[in-house]
Amino acid sequence: MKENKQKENQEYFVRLNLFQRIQHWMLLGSFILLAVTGLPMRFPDVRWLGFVYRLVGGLEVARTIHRIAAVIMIVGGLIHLGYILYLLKKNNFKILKAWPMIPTWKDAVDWWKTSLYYFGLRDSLPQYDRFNFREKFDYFAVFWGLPVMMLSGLVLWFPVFFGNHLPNLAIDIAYIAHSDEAILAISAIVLWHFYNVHYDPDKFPMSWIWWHGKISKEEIKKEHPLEYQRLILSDIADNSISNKQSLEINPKQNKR
Amino acid sequence: MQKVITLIFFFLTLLVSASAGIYQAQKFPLGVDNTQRCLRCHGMHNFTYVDSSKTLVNLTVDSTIFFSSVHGKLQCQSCHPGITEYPHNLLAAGKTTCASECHATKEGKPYDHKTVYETFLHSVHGKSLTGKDPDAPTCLTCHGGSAHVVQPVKKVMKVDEKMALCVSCHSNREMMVKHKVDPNAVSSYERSFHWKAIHYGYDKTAVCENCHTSHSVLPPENPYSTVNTANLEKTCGQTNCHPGAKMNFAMSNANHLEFMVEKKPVLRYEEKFFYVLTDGTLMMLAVGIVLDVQRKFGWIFLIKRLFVWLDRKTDQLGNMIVKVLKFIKKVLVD
Repeated sequence: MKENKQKENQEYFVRLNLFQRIQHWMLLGSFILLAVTGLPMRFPDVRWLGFVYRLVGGLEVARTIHRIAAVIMIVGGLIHLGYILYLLKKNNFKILKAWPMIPTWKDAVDWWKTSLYYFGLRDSLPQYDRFNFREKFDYFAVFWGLPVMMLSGLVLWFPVFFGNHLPNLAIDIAYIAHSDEAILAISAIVLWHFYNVHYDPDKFPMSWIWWHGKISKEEIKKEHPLEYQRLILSDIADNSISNKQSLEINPKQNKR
Repeated sequence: MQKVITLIFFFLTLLVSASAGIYQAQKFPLGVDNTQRCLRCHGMHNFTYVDSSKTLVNLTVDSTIFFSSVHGKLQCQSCHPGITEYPHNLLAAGKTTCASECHATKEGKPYDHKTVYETFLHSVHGKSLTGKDPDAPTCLTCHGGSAHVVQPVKKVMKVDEKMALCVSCHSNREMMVKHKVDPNAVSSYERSFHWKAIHYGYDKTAVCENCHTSHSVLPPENPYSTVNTANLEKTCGQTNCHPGAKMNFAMSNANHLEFMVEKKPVLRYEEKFFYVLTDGTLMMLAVGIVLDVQRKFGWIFLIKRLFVWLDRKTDQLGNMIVKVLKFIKKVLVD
């Protein structure tokens, strides 16, 4: 693993600061708990899933865990929305500059060029910025999926309240949405996100950026070259908070 | 002198045989508190006889079970008033039904099943009582099969056992179709949270009888039915269930979602939307992963592995064929 290498000239950049990592940890923890306590409900015929309920001490306990994790996820989501607003304000609402995750025309072009590269029709990958089109896709899959889950989940949590005030079919719609979107979200995470950070032969067994937030110089040069160029060439007076904090370069030291 | 002795003997014989005859013709009244006396014969195992229609009728009453049943405190004559003396007329016991006057008391007041019987008679299952439908359930179908073993349902039966009573007929598709009952009722219930709770061992949930009642099951079109639109609010809002439920909540069909999905296009489209979204997205992502892997290792890598695998499989197949042929040869030649 990269952070264990004690190379002398290994430089590290901060890719995710502590606040960003905390948001991800909240999401990670709550997602796993929600998935584990929710899946047996979705697949009652699969016997080994029921083991989860027996493990925690019954359906009631699992239900409570699911709801606590849901609250954590909702709070995390709200924190993130607040964070985006903060970034926007910091950058005078220039959204392209403030929100690195915003999809741009470049991402569509990158997708095309990357596909050509995969088929052998281009020699090299296009140059990616801080977040490549795959990561942005991941982000927006969550940006769509989680509000769906949260809203439908709240309806199912308080069926009498929401049932009374919303149209007839609200509960049925929520039931279908919550079950089906859960499957999509879990599959997408286990398949796509896990590929990008675990199964990918370049990253296997795990990319540790989510833990310590640092990306090595090699990696950023190879995978996010435009971001690297920007960091090297920009001034410290650059307003963007994300870039400013990413400017810490630690020669020699690999300590976290 | 001899004439007198013969006459005396004659009258003595008459007296003895007459009294013997009188003794035989006399019946003994059973009186009150006679359960033990009845059980003297009826408590025997395999106390049976064959009736006129050649059926074997079992008259055994297991006393342990009887005394622990709800009727255990009653006298036999409460429900079998026709039996007043011993020996008794074989058929006098037969005309008891659950609606019979049974002179029972509960908490000091007279009690009978007449009200429930009437309600049941007017429900969809009541056809059994009129004798017109052999499939329909009678009182005894759910209440233990015999009046001598009846246990109180609410206190003794667990939720999944209660459900099993209804499911035993309602999951029989042919019977349901024959009686024009929706055969998917049970399977659609098995997709509801109420069922899933039972499945995972949590019994504070609704089974069939909580919404449909046990004795007055009526089709939803009937204005007295608990699952009629106008009454749903009260049914869902029962005390231990969803108090405060109003019409909109009650109109959700989360208990039998399949039926609602069939009826409402918005739900059908929603389901289709999610199928397309899920499958489309995952296919796209899977293709992306495969492309990524193959570029890192080259198509050649994947194809080579495929060929190596195929090669091995054909080898195995070849070996198997050879073995089989050898075996056949051995059997035929030897």
